[in-house]
Amino acid sequence: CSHSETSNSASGSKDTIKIMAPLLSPESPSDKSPSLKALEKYTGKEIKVTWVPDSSYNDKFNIVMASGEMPHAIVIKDKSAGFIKSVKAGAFWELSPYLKDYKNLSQADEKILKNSSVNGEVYGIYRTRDLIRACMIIRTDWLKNVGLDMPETLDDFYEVLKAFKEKDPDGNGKDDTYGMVVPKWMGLGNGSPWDVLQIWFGAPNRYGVENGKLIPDFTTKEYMDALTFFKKLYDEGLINKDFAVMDSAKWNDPVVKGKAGVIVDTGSRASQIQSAMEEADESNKDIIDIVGSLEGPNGKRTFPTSGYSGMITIPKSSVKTEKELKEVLSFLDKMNDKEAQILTNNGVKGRNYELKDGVFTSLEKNNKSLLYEHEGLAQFSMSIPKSEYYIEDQKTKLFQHRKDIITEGEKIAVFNPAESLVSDVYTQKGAQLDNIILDARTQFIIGEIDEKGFDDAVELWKKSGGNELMKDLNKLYQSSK
Amino acid sequence: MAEIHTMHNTKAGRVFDVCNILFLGGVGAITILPFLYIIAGSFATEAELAQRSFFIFPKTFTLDAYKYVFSTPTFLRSMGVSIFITVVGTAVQLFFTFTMAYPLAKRHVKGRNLLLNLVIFSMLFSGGMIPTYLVVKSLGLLDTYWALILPMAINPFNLIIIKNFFQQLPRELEESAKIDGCSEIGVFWRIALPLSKPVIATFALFYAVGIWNDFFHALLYINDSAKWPLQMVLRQVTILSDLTATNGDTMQNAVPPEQGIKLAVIVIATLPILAVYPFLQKHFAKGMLIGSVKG
Repeated sequence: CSHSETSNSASGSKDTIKIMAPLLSPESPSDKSPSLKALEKYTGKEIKVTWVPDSSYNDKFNIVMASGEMPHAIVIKDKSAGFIKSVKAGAFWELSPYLKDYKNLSQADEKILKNSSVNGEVYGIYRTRDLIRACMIIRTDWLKNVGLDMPETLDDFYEVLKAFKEKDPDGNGKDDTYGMVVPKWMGLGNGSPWDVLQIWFGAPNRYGVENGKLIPDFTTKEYMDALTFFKKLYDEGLINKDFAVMDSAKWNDPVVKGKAGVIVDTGSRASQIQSAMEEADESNKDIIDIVGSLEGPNGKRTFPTSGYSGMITIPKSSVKTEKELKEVLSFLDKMNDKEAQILTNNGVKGRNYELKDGVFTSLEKNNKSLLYEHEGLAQFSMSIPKSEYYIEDQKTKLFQHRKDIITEGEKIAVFNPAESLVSDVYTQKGAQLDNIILDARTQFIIGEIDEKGFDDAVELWKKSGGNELMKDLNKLYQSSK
Repeated sequence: MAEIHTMHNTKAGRVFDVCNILFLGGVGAITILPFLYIIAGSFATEAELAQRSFFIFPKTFTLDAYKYVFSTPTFLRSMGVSIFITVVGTAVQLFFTFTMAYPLAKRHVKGRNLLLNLVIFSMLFSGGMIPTYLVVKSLGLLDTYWALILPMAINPFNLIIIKNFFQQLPRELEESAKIDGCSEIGVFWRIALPLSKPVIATFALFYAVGIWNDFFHALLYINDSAKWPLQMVLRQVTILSDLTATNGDTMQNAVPPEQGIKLAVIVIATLPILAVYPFLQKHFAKGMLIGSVKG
């Protein structure tokens, strides 16, 4: 039954749009989902989605690329080696000449579009995400118990962590608390607590620019200062000793269970912790608060995201002609209309949410099945030029602060100057190269190597392909300017 | 017997016994405790799961997780899919493996060595993920349950064990049956198969557990999420909580599935296949050794 459908997928005009998207909910929206039906009616297309479990998305992507049997639009989660290979092989449409013809797509943010490009060429329409997410999450009741104010500088931050360890913030008379929880983290420069703190310390974001040339962040003085600070935290027991192996799925637990008081991560994690603590004990209302940035030697800075999370690409093998491409693009353009954004993110009015005098109330609180009717659809929503769906206005302090750090953060964000540059050297050797630095960072913090050992690791990095990588990146950097 | 008896009465013997019981009891506890925790956790409230690291008895007993799991069509439907492919798949696998193993066990069959070598070759070298995918695709099996059954209809390793088992059956049995007028197929059905009940039970279990636990083939071959087997859904539910760390989210909070629901799904996904074990247990111990012992 299935192959008869797929065999005519490449023919003529498109009444059906096939999309491949990652699934991040336990359940996918069914074919009968009212939100999906409404979306089909709004866009005038039948929408068929191939849901792929998020955890195996790249495997499935490689299989689909190899088989040649492709949907009309594919969500790409990141610029993986497999994706870059397909791009170089000419598998996707280059979209820059076309975007200007569409009402919403033409308003795409230049900077984010550049970030999401492959060396300046746009192979997908990015999915907008908040540019600023990083913050320090803290238990305010502990802060009160140890008699300190919200930290504003890195020195305050150290004071607080020390007090959380030594001054018995939970008041149980036992020495059973510590300052900050840090989990293990794969990769470099993708928002780990270390990455965020390094920026606060004044180090560049992945690459610094010196005399018009890119240099890796770990060769800067600020980076070493940050690393020395991490080592001090570790030596004094202000962070968990098992940080190099701790499962990031259990990141919240020590805070929720009252063992630690600080996490450096995203605002949404703050909300998660707050609601978990409230669920355990109602008196925990407004117990968690956040600070967007701690002032370091180079002033206030913050770690931005790249402003997008993945993108939607259009393969040439299923969308053969320019005419077909324009059809798919106008479908994607419609997906950015306010009506479509609401359908994908909020669902159907009266069923998934209520609007009273402009105030949005979700009806999904105790009914997950309603949520799953549309939650998955948001995976191919791009929110360009901006998010226009409803967000429940939680009247909490925490929620307000989360909004504040986004506005404040956009002014002090430190961007990665090489975000859009895709170097072949990195595609091939990036993982090994990053690992050399990741390992050295961990070893330095736990005291297995000293500053000289770290310099040796940097030398090894240079010899293993780092020099080559910097040469390549600098070439791309000069030509992209 | 006498020796063992005296050993129990010596002091060293008793110390040894105590150590032995403690050690084996410890190993047993390590094996069973995670199971008990998962079962207990599936009946506990979210607050309790967040607060307590380990427990065997929940303080407040709740059926919320199970109520949710059975209220959505996804879980029941995927369980139906899993049961279907396990039952049909096991039958198909047993049929093909046994009917292929039997002639390969007969020395007089022509080309037997060539066939056997081909089988062994496929054990050492396989086509790989993408070529296999292309075969499944061009056979038109994508998005059908057969894609989860046919590509693994015969496991070469099992085939060789079963072939070795058939080889040890006394030749005299076959000869006497033939004298009584039995055909080759008759010998297989009436003599060889009834004698291999323990082997059938053992490999039925191997195959059934294999299919039940398999999610990867479904991931590759099944695009329609309505046809996903239970393990895909289980994997989806249990892996999700790790996502918030790596995915860009917006002001809207991505809510990971509740811990209790995860545990309930694990229980539901494990119980059916666990329930099969006792029925095959008596054959199992016997069958495991067959094929390895000569004579």
